[in-house]
Amino acid sequence: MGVLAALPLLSRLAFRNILRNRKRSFLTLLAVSVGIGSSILLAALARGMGEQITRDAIYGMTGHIQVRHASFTDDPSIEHRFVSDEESFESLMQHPLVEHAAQRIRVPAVIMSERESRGITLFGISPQSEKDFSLAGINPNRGRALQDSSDNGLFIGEKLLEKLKTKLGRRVVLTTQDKDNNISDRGFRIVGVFDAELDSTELSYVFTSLQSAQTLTHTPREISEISILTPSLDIPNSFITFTQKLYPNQRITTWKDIEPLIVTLVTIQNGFLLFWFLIVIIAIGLGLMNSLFMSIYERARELGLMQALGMKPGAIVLQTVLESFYLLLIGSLLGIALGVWGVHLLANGIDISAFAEGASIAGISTMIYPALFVADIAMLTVMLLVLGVLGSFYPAWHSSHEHSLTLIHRGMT
Amino acid sequence: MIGQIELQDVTRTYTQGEETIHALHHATLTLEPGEFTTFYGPSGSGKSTALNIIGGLDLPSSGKVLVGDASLTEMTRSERADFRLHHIGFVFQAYNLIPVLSAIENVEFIMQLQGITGDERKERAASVLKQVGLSGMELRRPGELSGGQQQRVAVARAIASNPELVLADEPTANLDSTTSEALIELMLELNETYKSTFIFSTHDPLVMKSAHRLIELKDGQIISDSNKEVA
Ligand SMILES: Nc1ncnc2c1ncn2[C@@H]1O[C@H](COP(=O)(O)OP(=O)(O)OP(=O)(O)O)[C@@H](O)[C@H]1O
Ligand SMILES: [Mg+2]
Repeated sequence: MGVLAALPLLSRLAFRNILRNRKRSFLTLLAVSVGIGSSILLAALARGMGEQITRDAIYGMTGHIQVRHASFTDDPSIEHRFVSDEESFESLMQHPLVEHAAQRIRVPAVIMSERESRGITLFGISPQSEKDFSLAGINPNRGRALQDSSDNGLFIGEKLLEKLKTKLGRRVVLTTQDKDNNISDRGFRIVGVFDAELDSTELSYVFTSLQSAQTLTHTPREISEISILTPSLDIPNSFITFTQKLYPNQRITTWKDIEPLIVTLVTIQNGFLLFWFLIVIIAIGLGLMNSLFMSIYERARELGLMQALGMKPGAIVLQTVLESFYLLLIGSLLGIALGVWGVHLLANGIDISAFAEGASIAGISTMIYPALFVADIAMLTVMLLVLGVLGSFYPAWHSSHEHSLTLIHRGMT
Repeated sequence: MIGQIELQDVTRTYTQGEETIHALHHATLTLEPGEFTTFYGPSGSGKSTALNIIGGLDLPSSGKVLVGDASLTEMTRSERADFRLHHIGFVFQAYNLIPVLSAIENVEFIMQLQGITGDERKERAASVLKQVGLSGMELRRPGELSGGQQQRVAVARAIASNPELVLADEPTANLDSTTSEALIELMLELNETYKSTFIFSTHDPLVMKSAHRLIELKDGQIISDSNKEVA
């Protein structure tokens, strides 16, 4: 009869042997479940951080895709602008994948108070379009938000206000290049102050209305970008084609093009996670192999006896492999439970500001919310089961390849 | 039927350091189907070795072993395992049972490997256990049985699937005379009913008394055979 038909018998033997040496099985299960559980938690934290960074960027000012002048990404100056076409914008807004879309001016500028000056990025925005979408639409911490497309006020971050050593309600001067490469400057009153998650955004983003920015740059009907929010990070090609048709002369860039650092970060993170998973699995696998060798050695007599009674070598191998498979399976399930529980405990986020002082300035949020990815759990478990089972073949094969009489004799002496 | 068993000039040697031990030395022997044969002789004379070689558990260093049409010496390991499973019942001299299985599971073991399913297997195992006087102890693990009781479980397992050949290495060594007698009685009965071939090794006069044929071993050589005069 085939080895497979003996499966119920072999499974029973495997289970009884697991129960037989409880201490060893317990330790193996502990190692497997702690290894898997901690890897899941680690993966979730890393994923959470990656997601947080991506989200901060997308809901910062990036959006999922942007319509830009072909050269704007490389050189974001007023030179690379395009004419706002209301008809195309209307059509864009009608598309079902468009949750929000906003037309903006984005130029480098210098902000100057009576005491300090700083280089910043100036945005000219339409407050209605930015509401519930971007950083430009958030509620002010103090003062008021920008009201309409012709608002002359300035909306800046708390940190910048502090650096400029000025106050809400005071006037500052903005200097930038206009469309003819001439210096253009104007006084603005600070009407509102915002509080962002990241210090870096508070320091570098300054908002005014679209019209007053257009006036400053002498480009009354032109814009630098249209930022679009879609339902997901994965943007269908059909939508990109659609947008390209609306703006045939501009370049359609996705968040991945605009934020290549984030993409790189996530790729590196994936690599590290995979590497870590492999290390954990190899460590577990070596421990498992060691304990299998021990238990096979202890059981030499009965393995010999089974062969003597007519159990085929393949079935002997399978019996041992099954034993480690069950240990791995139970251990993985416990580990998954452990990992998910850990993620649940940390669901309210952990504050890393204590260990990562510079994080906020570097553009990384100090709160991490773990994000559980089923794909990570599946990959980890499958990798462990496959590699663990492969690793068990070696000791198992050993157990079947000694002559049955030798095994019986060894046991007797 | 399993047919004739033939040992043709079988030698089995072990080397231990400088020394070569002849566990069997040029043994030639024919055993007829249905015979009830006993090997006897002093300790170390080669009884277990002879049984192991006949059962395909051990291979001779030289010579041939034929069982019916099959040449054990020319089979692969896996083929010999299969051959043992389907034709031979074994009782070993010691360490006979699988510790993690209960008495009845041990008896069922071979039938389970043979593919005999569920109820039939259980019934047969229970009835053989009863025959060897162990009803009520079906669920005990080997560790919870006395040496003699363990030996009886092993006998029950060897005969449960009515093998054509039963090889028993000192099966009564740990038993009191009453139980021994009952076991021998049972085996003689099986030998009668199913014409199975029985080969024992023993020191036990009770066993020797019941055997059809007695073969004496000394230093790995056959020195007497009740079926014929040995030169
Ligand atoms: N694995 C082994 N390695 C080395 N020598 C062995 C081995 N097995 C058996 N022998 C030797 O072969 C000889 C025959 O052994 P065997 O076990 O066949 O004797 P036996 O007649 O069954 O003895 P007993 O009555 O004590 O069971 C002995 O001298 C023994 O020491
Ligand atoms: Mg012996």
